[in-house]
Amino acid sequence: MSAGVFVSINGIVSRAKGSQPKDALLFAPTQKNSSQIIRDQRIAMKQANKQIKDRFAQANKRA
Amino acid sequence: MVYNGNIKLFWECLITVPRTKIFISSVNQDGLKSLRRNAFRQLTALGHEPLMWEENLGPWPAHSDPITQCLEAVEQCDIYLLFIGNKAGTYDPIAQRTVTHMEFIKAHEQGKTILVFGDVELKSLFFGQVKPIIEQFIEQSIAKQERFPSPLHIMNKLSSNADVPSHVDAYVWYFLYDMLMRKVYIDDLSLGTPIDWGAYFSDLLRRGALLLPLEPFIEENSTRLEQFDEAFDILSGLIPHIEINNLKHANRFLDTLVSRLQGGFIEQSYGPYMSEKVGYYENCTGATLYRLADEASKLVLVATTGDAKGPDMYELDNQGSYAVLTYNMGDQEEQIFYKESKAMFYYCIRMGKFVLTLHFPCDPTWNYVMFIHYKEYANHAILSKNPLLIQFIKLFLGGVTS
Repeated sequence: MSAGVFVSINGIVSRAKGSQPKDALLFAPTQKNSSQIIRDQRIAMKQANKQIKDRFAQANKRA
Repeated sequence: MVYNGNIKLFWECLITVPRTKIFISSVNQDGLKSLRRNAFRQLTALGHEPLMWEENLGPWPAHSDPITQCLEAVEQCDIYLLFIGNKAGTYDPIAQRTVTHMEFIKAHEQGKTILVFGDVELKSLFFGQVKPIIEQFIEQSIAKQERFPSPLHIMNKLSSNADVPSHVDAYVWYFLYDMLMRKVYIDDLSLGTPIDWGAYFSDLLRRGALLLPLEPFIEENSTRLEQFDEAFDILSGLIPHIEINNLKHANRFLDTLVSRLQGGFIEQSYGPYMSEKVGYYENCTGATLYRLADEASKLVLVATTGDAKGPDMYELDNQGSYAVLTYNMGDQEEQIFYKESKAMFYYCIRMGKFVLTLHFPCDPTWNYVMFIHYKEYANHAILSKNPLLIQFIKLFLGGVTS
């Protein structure tokens, strides 16, 4: 499904244009699902972990 | 080299101890010159290794790029020290930043300890008069153009505003605002009043001394984190090879899940350093679980919990049902739905033959216009709250065969 906002009214799905009734079911395709978010968070976690270790190594380095 | 009581060796050891490299940065303006010089001398006397253009950095050979050289020096320092006055310094039109600002960005990006001293009068003008003007302009630009204004736009806006003091370069205000967005503290600088560098660096030493003994705990936590990550990796690889016969207590399964899922804020982000709360969603209040019936033409209700209600079955061509819409998106797909009349977000996840829907009550001030406007941020807020938990649910339910 392409980007944008969609609406389901009385069992018919269409692009959401103009005003919408209160009981309309609205949805917008997500850019990333939870699996992709987890992947990003794990990469960020590993980078932060490495940075902490490198910084400690640097702090403890003697000439 | 190890000191063994020999006095000559003692001095040699002392010389080889690595010193703290402090990059002294500021615009080369009259009011700051003596301050820079004094800082350089006192920091040297305290046993540190300050780096400063006039003293021991420049000038570089004609063929070398001075900006690159400066940025490399920042990269090599341990502490980045900056003085801010009313002059902005050299502006690079390609980078759309001043050289001093680029040095600051480099230090921030490299995770250096950053110490900033801003003229007290300048700080008072910034926080009292200029910051609200910048914030209002940014808000208007985002509302009109849906993007953060460029530094040039901000400067033009400030230059044309009679309430903004004209004796300060407009770029300085933008620079201060950028520091604020990066959550960098600006210390008071009273020109003419010397800074007690000994006391200042003693405080820095105190902070470092508090943190350094924590190294073994941080290291241990870091190792545990890697082990948990590896366990997650292994489980993610193993579970898809397992067939789970059935859910013994589907309702309890949902209860356990729902009680763990918390609400949060919906935040619109403007780049990596700034965000604004535009709404919220409450803790999960209910869930439904549907499964594809054997004849494969409908979804049948397996369990519900909390305030979630649902019919016993949905035909697969019923496009009014969020469960059906999600099922038809394909395996492992996810979708957030919103209904204004119920003030509710529905987070639907398809796993194999199952569709799980989690109900999150929405900020009651929201309406369909807000959802359309902030859709990506609402989606992101709910999906990124605890994706690990959702990932396990997907793995487990994806393995259930009947």
